[in-house]
Amino acid sequence: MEDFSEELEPLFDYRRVQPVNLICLDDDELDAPSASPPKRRKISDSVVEKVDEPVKVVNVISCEDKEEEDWLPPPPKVSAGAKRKGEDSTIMELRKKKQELASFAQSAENVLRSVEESVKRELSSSLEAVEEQPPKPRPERNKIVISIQDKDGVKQFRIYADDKFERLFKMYADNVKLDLQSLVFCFDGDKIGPAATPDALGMEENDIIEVFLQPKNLIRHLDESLMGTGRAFDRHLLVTSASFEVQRLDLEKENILHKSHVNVDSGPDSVLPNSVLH
Amino acid sequence: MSGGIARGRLAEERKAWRKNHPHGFVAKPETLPDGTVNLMVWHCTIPGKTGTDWEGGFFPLTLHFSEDYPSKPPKCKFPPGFFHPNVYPSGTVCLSILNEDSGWRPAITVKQILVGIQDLLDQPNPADPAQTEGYHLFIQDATEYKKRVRQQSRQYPPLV
Repeated sequence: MEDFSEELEPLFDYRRVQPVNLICLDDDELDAPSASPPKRRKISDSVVEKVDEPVKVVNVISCEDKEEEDWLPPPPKVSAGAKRKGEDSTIMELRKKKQELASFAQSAENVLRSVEESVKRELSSSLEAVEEQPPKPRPERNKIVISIQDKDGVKQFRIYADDKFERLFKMYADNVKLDLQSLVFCFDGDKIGPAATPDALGMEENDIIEVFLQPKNLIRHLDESLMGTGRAFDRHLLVTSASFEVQRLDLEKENILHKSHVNVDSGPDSVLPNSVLH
Repeated sequence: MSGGIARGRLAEERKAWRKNHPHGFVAKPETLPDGTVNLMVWHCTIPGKTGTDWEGGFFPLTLHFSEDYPSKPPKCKFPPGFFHPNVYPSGTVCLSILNEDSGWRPAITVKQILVGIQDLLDQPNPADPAQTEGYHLFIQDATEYKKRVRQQSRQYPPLV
């Protein structure tokens, strides 16, 4: 539809042009600013042989393509020739402009590219700084979801299948706010060493690691801080709360869960290990 | 032919177990010296329940599945001489859900078996004794019974 309306325009122009060369000027003015759609050119070529000037002007922007066609029409009249020189200069100017623009575009592109590269470099370096653990990030490292289960529930972690467990353990210890040294991690009943990897243990997606509190550390801890008070304590609290002080406060204020009293026939010393285990 | 069924079911059981099982329990098919896995024998661990005299113990249990599983229940064995009123001197557990003629159903899972046995530890069934020592102490001398249970719990500490 739009094309059609554009086609109409030149027809209209030409009727006005018919009389003399003067009209060429009009055409110039008309055509130069507009981006010379190819269709218009065709029409002008075929319809008006005499009026090659407008054709020329139309060609300005795609000058190289049209040079052949420029040959076809017979040499224009004198007035037209004079005009042509003026046009040539504008053409030259336009070409210069075009080159300038092209070079500008090129330089802009270069700038963009260099910026992009530097950003990339910065990003990757900062990423490396953030996670030093994957020293040689291979293109395809399998990730695996591992569940860590304690008495109170399951937490899921997504880790590299070839990454050492120590990283996951640290993450978990931070997560539950417990000393890493007091935790024991087991898979299928076997203790997991910090240097082992999910791959090495043949672990699959969603496999479960069980975490226990190490009895020995726990007992010493309790001996030092609880024995004097002879207070009842709760292992669940030990598992869940961050600091011992918090646990004591909790114990005083609320009676959560089952408590096991330090007493009974065999005396506190021998009872403690049992009631505190894992 | 039914062996295929047993192994298929056991493979499924193992798969399900790996994704989800109660804390402190272990259940894995036996690995033979040559590295192959024998699905018909499982080595398990049952943790004593928190808040009971069994707490702190991690009791080893072996499940022996027959080719007729799951039509027939597995034989579940603690170490020989295990102290409990419903455990035979051989270590075999006597429990209704593990009895083909009584409570066993093919739909019962390994997880249910192990949790059922954990429940049994602190809730012996005096109506169905399997050993004299555990049974008599349980009936006649609660204090001594308690002591023996605690002693046994200490005898099976966590392996880690």
